[in-house]
Amino acid sequence: MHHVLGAGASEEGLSSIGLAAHEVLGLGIMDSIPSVWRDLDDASGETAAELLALLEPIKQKVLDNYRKWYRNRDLQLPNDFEANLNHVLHDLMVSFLSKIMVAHPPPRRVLTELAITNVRKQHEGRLDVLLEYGDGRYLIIDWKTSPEPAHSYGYNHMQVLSNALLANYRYHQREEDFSGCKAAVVHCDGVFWPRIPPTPATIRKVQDARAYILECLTGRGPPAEAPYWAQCVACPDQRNCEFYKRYTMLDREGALPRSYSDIRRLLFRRRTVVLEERANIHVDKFVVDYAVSQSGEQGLSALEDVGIVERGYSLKNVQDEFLILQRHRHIGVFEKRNPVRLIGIEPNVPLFACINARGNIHEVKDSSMTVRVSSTIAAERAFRQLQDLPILVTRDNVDLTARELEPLHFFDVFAAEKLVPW
Amino acid sequence: MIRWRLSGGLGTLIGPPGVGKTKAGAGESVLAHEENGEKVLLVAYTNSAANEFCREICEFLGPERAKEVAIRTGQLEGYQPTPQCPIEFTLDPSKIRQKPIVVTTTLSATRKYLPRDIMFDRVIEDETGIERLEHMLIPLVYCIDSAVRRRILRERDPFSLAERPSGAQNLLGLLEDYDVTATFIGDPKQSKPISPVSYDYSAIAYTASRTRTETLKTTYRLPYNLDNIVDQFADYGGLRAHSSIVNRRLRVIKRPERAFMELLDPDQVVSYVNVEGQEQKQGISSCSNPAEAKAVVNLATQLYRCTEGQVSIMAIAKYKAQRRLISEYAKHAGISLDSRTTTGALGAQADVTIFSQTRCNSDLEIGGVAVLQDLNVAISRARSKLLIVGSWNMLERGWVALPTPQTRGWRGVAWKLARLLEKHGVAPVEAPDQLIR
Repeated sequence: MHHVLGAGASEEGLSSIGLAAHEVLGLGIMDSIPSVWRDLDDASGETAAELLALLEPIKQKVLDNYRKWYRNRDLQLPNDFEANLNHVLHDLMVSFLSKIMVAHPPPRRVLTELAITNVRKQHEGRLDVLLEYGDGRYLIIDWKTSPEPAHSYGYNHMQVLSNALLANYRYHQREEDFSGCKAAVVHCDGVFWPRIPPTPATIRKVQDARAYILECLTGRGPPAEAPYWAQCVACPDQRNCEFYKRYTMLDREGALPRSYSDIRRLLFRRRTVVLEERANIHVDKFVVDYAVSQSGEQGLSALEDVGIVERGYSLKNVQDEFLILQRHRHIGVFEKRNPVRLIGIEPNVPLFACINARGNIHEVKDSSMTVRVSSTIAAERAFRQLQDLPILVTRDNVDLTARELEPLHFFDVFAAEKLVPW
Repeated sequence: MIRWRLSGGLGTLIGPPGVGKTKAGAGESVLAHEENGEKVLLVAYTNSAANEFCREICEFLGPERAKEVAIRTGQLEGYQPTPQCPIEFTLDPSKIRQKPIVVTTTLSATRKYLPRDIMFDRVIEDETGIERLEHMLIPLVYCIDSAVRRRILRERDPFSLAERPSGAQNLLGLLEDYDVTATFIGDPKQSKPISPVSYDYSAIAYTASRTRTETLKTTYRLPYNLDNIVDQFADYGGLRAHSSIVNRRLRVIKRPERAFMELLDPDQVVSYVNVEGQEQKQGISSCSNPAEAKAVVNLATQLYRCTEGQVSIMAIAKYKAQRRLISEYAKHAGISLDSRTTTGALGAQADVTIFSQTRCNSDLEIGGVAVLQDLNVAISRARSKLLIVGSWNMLERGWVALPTPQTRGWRGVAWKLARLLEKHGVAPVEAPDQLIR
């Protein structure tokens, strides 16, 4: 609803315990926990307490960020925020410790909040945690911070399989190749292990759902496929969905006043334009991916010659939400305020499946570039993951879809309220 | 021209270059606050246009008073206060609530930057020629009562009975019925929206035919003969320079070098420098021309020398790659040169502008340079002198690979500019060797 109609947009920025927990775990699981994992004996309460103590400094940083965000909006952080966050972190750590850490050896490398794009399949996603064992095995972890029980719950199952397709693309360049893959959904009361490899029918279900969403996003208006009835009850977009269903039905029956019907058509036409524009923000990725897949190193050099990418960067420092990069020669193409993607080039990994970070250029000075990312935690995480890798900088695009769709939804509802007599 | 806007409702102000659209918008905000006690939101599509609003408010009220009544918000990197324009930049919602005049960009007029419960009595939108309809609607949400806004957006209860049903027949009628006061300022001949649809219309094209519209015809920027050229090029139907600036000319203090004398002649308001440099493709759709970039920088260097740095100079190019190249060459030459694309130059002006055509190839494909809006902006930024650097052959004979409504067919409108320049006595001057070295 949010991505196609502009309805039901959530508050921008940090707004929930769940997001805060993700932020804490995203840095903690990479930073502090591997050392405990190596010396792990049991899943006792003491061990859990030790893990939580290790997360404490990161948790305080995250809370400081949230307090600042709330202050900037003239709001106060809810009094029970920290207590609720502690609760969620404790429960997740207990599940993680007892079902994953105890049962599996420590990984060679931990990657968190990894955004992977399979350009050719037009599939982009973000993995909460990816544990690499260095022998072709990898474990994908998805944190579930809401109080739902750990079992096969439709959406969660599909989501983690969707992430698994991206992880497979990263390691095998084929999304259906599940060799070495394992996945876990960590809930507050346990861990759910989806069947890996999934059945061909399940894989097809995920791929069909992906194709359907793509059809919706490109404004082609595929025939509606009613969701499983039970999902409507839990859907946060129920009211907005009812609104659009109801007025579409009335419009088809000719029961709407002409004035509102015309406004409605105008606003739907504008939505189509916005969604078409949205496709253009991925053009750079297509060009880069195509050039690299067709011509490899030559393709990359050609892209550099025409100024689409620039190689030769390395990450030197991090300060608050700024990443400071150095290039071995003068920076030619990029300028202040350009949105960019920093990609750490990994051997044998497709370019857009490598570790990466997104931000805006704050300053360019000779061969030094400062990039601002979304938060201090994101900057720290990006620094830890990218610091030892050669970095390629490529142009990125700002997605204005939500900002453009929201007033269209607002005025659609507003016009309905004012013009449709009841 | 502003008074009729104080009575409220929706209105459109169309203005050719330099007529004072931004000034009118800023003036309206000041009057609305001082006479009616209104809270006003001023938005523009680009940061530079929003910053122009701030400068105009400071001119109206004086820096100190402007700092008291106005505030700038949005993207941190988009604005820097100066002694002449000390309006504060802030993200603090309590300060934004306090100040009666808030300035930001259109895309920043969202919940991310504005307090959720804030409501404005009036919205003034500039550069609506570059906006699409959905962009125009973004700030108008803040003219609707915050309780209604909250109900629709957050509490998601869209089925409440209407407290005040409306008999409006269209979207703008509905807004007017709900006492929304907004002024849409722009010029469809200076900008067009970036749209995936080739036949898309701008916000101002939408409002001009549906609201009370006024077109301003006196320019305070373009001296004679540039006013005529721009008027006939864009078919404004009578754009004329104000009497106070009609004879404004470039003030040269030191004599320029011999090779540059003809080009920098103050009595020639428009000069054309013929440079047959080869274009180079950059990126997916950008282009640069090193010979033209060098010519631009050498001209700027000469100008700084002959005017002892007393004039402002702006270099304009259609393509980002060319703009970057000009900036790079200027840096090597040790001069500070304001270098912009035609989009970035919208709303800006300088004493002297140097426009680099950039496109020069054996196929005579002139591409985006032949778009009415881009060329119009490029030639209408100058207060005293306009220098056009490029291939005369391309300007005269260039064609467009993919015709659009803006290019008006395969030949675009560049040939029209060539004809007008000839008609007004502007002949191309061959670039001297020193210019492209």
